[in-house]
Amino acid sequence: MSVYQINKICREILLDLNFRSKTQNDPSKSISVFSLTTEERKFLLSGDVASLYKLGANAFLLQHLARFNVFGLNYENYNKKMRSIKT
Amino acid sequence: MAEIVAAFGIPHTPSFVATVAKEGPEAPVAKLFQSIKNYLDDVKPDVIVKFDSDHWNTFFYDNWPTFAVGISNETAGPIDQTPSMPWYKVLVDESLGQHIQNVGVNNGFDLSFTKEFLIDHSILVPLHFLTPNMQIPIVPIFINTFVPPMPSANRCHDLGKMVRKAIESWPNKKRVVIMASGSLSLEVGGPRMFEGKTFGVPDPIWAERVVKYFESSNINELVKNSTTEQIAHAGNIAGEILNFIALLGVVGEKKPIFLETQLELGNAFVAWRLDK
Repeated sequence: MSVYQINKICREILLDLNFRSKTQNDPSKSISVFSLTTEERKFLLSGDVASLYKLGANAFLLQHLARFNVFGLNYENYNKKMRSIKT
Repeated sequence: MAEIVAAFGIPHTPSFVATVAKEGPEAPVAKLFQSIKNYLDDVKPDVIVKFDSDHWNTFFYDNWPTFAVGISNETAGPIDQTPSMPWYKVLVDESLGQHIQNVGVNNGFDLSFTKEFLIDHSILVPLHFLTPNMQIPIVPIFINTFVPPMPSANRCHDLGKMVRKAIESWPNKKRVVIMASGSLSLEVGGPRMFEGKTFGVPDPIWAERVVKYFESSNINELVKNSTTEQIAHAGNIAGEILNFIALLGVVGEKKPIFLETQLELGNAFVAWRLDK
């Protein structure tokens, strides 16, 4: 499990404009430099934030993915996916 | 010696900046900040000490302090690109920051420090409204209010008491204001968001209770009840209460002279006069 790497990707999307635009254009290639498990890569590329959250990724950081429209996410679908989690 | 002249507990909700840019000074939140600004201008501060929650921007999991002081001549931000906010350069009072770290380390608080750092909306939203010319230097004291294990409420209260002692022993005839910011109950990006929003307020009853503790200056009850469990129940960002608790360590038992709430956002605007 590489939760640290997932959190780091979210933060880089916010802070590194170059990484952000690369990820918007070619997400699979852009995240290839991070050590993720096959499952984590799949969840990220499909914008499955609920599964990433369940793995332990930080929700505040995950929302950066919706703010900058990477991995098919926007605020609307992000809200629905996250709220589907039972608390 | 320096004198602590006032304290302010306020929110730093990033969307306020765009709201006021659009709606102007008549927006309800602009009026709330204007009330706080009037109190701030009245006490003519020379420096602002700010208890702050960095939101994974100044620091990250590679290097995350429990308590840290920003010791520098300047900083800038917002690095998290707060919508409608300009890029600000902010003066930092290096001498007071260094003094607080020295007093802390000599009194059981092994404070970390950073000498080159940028800041996010949590410092700059309040400053954007309160000192828009950025003419007053700040000293940021970062508290880990988000990443478990967080410092206890009691420890943060003691931090505030130590900071009070430090400021009062600073051999400069300066007027010092203390600030803390955050929300009392807040979930950002997590499962307890409101439908169609980026945030939620999971525990409005807790937020109301906290406001009552402020009103009655019942700090001991606030500290006692701000447990790890209560904070987690109030949202993934509700640890920001620890900034307020540190602030109350400076304030002591004084009652606020101004208190307004925005409970739909889990927010409070509070002012204390502390000058003689």
